[in-house]
Amino acid sequence: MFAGLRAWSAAHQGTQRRDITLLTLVATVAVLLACSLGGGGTTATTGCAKPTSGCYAVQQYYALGKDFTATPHGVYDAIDLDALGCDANCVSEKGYIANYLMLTSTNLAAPWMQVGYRATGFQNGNTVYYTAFYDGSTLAFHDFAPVPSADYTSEGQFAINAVTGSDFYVRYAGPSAWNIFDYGKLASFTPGAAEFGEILHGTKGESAAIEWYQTGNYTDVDQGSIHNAPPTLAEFPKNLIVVEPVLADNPPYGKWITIEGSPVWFETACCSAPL
Amino acid sequence: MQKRTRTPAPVVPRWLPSPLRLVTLALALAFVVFALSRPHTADAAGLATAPPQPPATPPSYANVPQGSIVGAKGVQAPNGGPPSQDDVSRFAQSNNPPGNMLKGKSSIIAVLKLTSGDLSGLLHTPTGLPDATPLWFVELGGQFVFPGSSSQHDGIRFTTAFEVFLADTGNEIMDGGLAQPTGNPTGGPTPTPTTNPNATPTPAGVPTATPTQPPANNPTPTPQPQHTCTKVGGSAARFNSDIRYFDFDAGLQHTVLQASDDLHYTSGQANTFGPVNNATIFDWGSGSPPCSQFLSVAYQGGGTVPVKLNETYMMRTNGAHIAVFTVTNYSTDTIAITWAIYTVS
Repeated sequence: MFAGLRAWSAAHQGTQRRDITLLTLVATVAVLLACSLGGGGTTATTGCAKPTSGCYAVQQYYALGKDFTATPHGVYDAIDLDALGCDANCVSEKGYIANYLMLTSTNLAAPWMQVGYRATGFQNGNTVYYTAFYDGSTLAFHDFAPVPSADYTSEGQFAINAVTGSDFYVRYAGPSAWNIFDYGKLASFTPGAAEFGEILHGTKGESAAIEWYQTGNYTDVDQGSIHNAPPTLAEFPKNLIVVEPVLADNPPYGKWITIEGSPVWFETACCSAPL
Repeated sequence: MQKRTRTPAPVVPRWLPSPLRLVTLALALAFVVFALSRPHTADAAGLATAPPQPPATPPSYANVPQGSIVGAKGVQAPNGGPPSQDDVSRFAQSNNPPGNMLKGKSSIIAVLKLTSGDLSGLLHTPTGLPDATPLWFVELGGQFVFPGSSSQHDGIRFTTAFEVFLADTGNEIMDGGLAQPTGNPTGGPTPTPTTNPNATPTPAGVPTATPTQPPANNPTPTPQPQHTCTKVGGSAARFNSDIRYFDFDAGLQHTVLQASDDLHYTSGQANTFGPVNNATIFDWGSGSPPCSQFLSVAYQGGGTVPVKLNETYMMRTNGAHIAVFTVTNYSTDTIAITWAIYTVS
């Protein structure tokens, strides 16, 4: 067999050389093409260019009659639960990255309330935590509990509700657990705007997989009391009227995937552009 | 029968490319490289995830259990047990609040052990934990910028920030900024002090400016017996219109009077300190009282003494200690003190 092989090889030496040259050429083109389509490879690119402020990839809704048909009393998002990367560089610079849903007063000004999840250099980066933030008389960030790694790639469900004259409360739910956090009565907070997406702080080492947001749902019904159960899409039957332009600092990147029908889908990624 | 002859086809070894294999191989290679080049940037953290496809409707989590607040990784005591005040202080000195976007140094104003109920009253926001849950509260001074909404693109600036840790595990559960960094962090009324905080301290009850001498109202000017004073605790604390009570023996502040509290701060037109329960107080004046005076000055039960900047006060506490504290900061509402407690034998 080896003799035959040598004979064939000798007879086709020219063809072989030509084939290998062609293979090299095609492979090179393939690699260049793939890198181009892939957006730059696996290395995390430079993060937020503003070292003392945050960078955003968000969608804002703030206009009654344009975005909302009626005053929102609650907003809802289903956001992919994923590992947010915060490597040694991120830990060193105490960076962080978060995916969140926010309910605010009109014009996206304080007071506001957020719920979502984040990874920070403060906690050495390797764990993602469910969080809620509130900006009122005190600006307070709450870290509730780690997002179980078994829940990664699942959809998390997040909601913020306002009960007139009584409570503001946030809820989150994933495959392993849900929870509710009641902020109680917060003065001078009339909900009138919403925002969702990704915030990045840090110049290097923060990263996020492509995250999908099933979004655009709210309720204009004052529930009258706290709904002490995991949030569901059915509680938020109203759809936002329009798809506003994306506000993205690139990174993080954000774009709409679907804008027709209900629900609509939004996407964020950091720190390479999603496809 | 004519033997059918056929031209033997060349035996193409599998390790050499035919044109068809060449194309297949190139496409496969391209696919592999393409897949590797996708922006799975979470790979950097060793936590690769593939982007999921959107389902038609979200999954139902109606039957999952309700979780609890366990916080995020924070202070870790060297012995693995609950962190001490020193552990919390060391951690806070080297770790700015996680939401802070500035990397400058901050200084610790106070490290206090408070119950969840008291802390909620102080911050005017809930902790989400039962009222009796013990927490470490750290107040920090410096320059802090926390993120807001995307319409607050430059963040929200503070000169006072805080961190909160579970006292039993050291896990961090809260951080943030206090809205009025040099005044009232709770949003309550701002009292007008009757004394000028910038004025030169005027010791009350001290006959001269010689702080090492016994005060004039010392009821026992005769030679004092020799004492041994042993410091058994101390730190810093702050008072405002909400945090009004202090238990020196436990190092705990309260918004509502507790049976073990020693000191009551009253804000308003006249900022005063007063003893509560069975504690007694004496306004020493400037400087530090010597040990020989710890048991001999004229402590008073009930009544009040005025709050003055740089003034030193003494107390007999409900826990049979002598507390010595000095007002180190006196703004329109917030009163900061440093304090120590001693046993006297």
